[in-house]
Amino acid sequence: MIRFTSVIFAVMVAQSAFGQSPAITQPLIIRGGTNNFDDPIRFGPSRCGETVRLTWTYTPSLGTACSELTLWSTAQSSCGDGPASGDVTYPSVSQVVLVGAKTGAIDVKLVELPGFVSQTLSDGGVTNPVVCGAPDTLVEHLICGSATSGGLTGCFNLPLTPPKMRASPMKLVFDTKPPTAPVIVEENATNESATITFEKNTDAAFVVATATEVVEDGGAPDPVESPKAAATQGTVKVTDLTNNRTYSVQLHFIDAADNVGPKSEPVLVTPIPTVGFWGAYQRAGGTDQGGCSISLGLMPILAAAWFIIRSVSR
Amino acid sequence: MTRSVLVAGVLATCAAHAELKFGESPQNFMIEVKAGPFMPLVDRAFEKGRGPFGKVFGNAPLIMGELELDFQVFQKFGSASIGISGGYAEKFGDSLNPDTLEKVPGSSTGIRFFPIKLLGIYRFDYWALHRSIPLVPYAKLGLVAMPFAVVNDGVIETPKTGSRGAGVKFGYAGVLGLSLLLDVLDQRLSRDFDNSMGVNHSYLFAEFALQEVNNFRATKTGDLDLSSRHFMFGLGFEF
Repeated sequence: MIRFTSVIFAVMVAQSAFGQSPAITQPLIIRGGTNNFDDPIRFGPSRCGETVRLTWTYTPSLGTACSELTLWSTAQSSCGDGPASGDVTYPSVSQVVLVGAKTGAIDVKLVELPGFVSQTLSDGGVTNPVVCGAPDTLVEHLICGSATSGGLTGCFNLPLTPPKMRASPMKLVFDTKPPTAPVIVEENATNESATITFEKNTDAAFVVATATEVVEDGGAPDPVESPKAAATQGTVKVTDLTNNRTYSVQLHFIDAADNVGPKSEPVLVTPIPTVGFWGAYQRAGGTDQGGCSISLGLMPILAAAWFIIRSVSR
Repeated sequence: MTRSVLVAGVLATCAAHAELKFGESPQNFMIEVKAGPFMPLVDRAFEKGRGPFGKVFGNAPLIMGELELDFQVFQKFGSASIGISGGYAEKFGDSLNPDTLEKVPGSSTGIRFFPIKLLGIYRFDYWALHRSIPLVPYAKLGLVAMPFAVVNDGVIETPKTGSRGAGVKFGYAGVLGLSLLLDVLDQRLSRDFDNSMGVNHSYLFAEFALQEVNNFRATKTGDLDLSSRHFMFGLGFEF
């Protein structure tokens, strides 16, 4: 027993030394929909009235849950072992359900998260909530859970202050802070399109390019927008342009909470016609016209196929 | 000492293979999966240094993958088969400015090949099956149809001159190869493979292919010559 736990401890220390999380499965996890547990849900003003359904999962490993599962949300940077003053609590999950069903749902009303609701603190004071929908604001919440943890012998002979099994929390982020403006690194004119290279941004989700034709008579032609591209891709292509006309191209980021950032500095691009290998082949003096030279090519194959069929049928 | 060890090893392998298999399942087909470096000889129809293929795609070969199915019609002294194969290869590069023929970064042109072959094959497997020498030389001769397609910025290139960057070229192919019978490595596994999957023999092989794909005529200046000389390597299963 001692040797076994020593081995486990050594593995955890070694993996921590290499910057890895312990290999032992986290017994309690809170997740949001199809997200991984370490992917926060980011939301903006349009979602303030929504209720988000999260999932708790209990995976017994070392030790077992010896109490109900307490669930709460906090605007603090960490969960602690239980709800603190100013936190919002949710209905507990009984030990029977926790150990038996091993999974369940938590419905969280976004507008009732502690960062948006005035809470009375233990010292009699009140919290300073943010209005859900306020601009240029970032408020992070953790959805937390914990249960009493039994030792390797189960839930018997627990100490007076038994250890807590903390859930890996789910982060909900109210975000109305727009991303920064993109920085364009390079612009390339291609056939009826322009490819723009920009500095990647991990805080944004998407990038959009907008191309507006530069006209001398001061007119205002309709801009052409690219489809959304991943902000971590590093390049975006805007198409459906006209060759030999100059366009002013700007980019802007959109983050996961649908906040739209300011536009980048413009760059001028003039799409040009290009030729591929076929055009290059013709310009080098190539004479082939493509297509299928049936008269030249099919006759030997048809003759061979006829011979084979006759041989097999005999 | 080293030579003695080598001789002993060869004798042991041959001795292990001398125990021929009995009660094999019927053997009618051969499947080959193979790949190899492929370089069409497009630029030999142009002056040296002015070939369009090297200019656009560079000099590194494509990787051609092929799947071949042979039907064995004769199995007395060696085996003779009729086979059909299909393959695929592609390569991409930057498109060119039509005036300066300089590369335009951010643009893309590509060429795709879909070779189809009808082949007659002879495998000299007599020694492998009856004389404990696990090597099978073989030869193939056949006809080739090579559909191709050229794309520029994602669509088949169709310049205003009217021609279309897609079509089919025809020709013939000859192949010489050598297979290593893998049954000798583990006779029991080989028997189990036959009993469970019906695979009589497995081979590792290397072959050299000579293809003339220019519509059965000598190359003239300006032709789109899709001939090649290339090696292929792969696995074969007789069942």
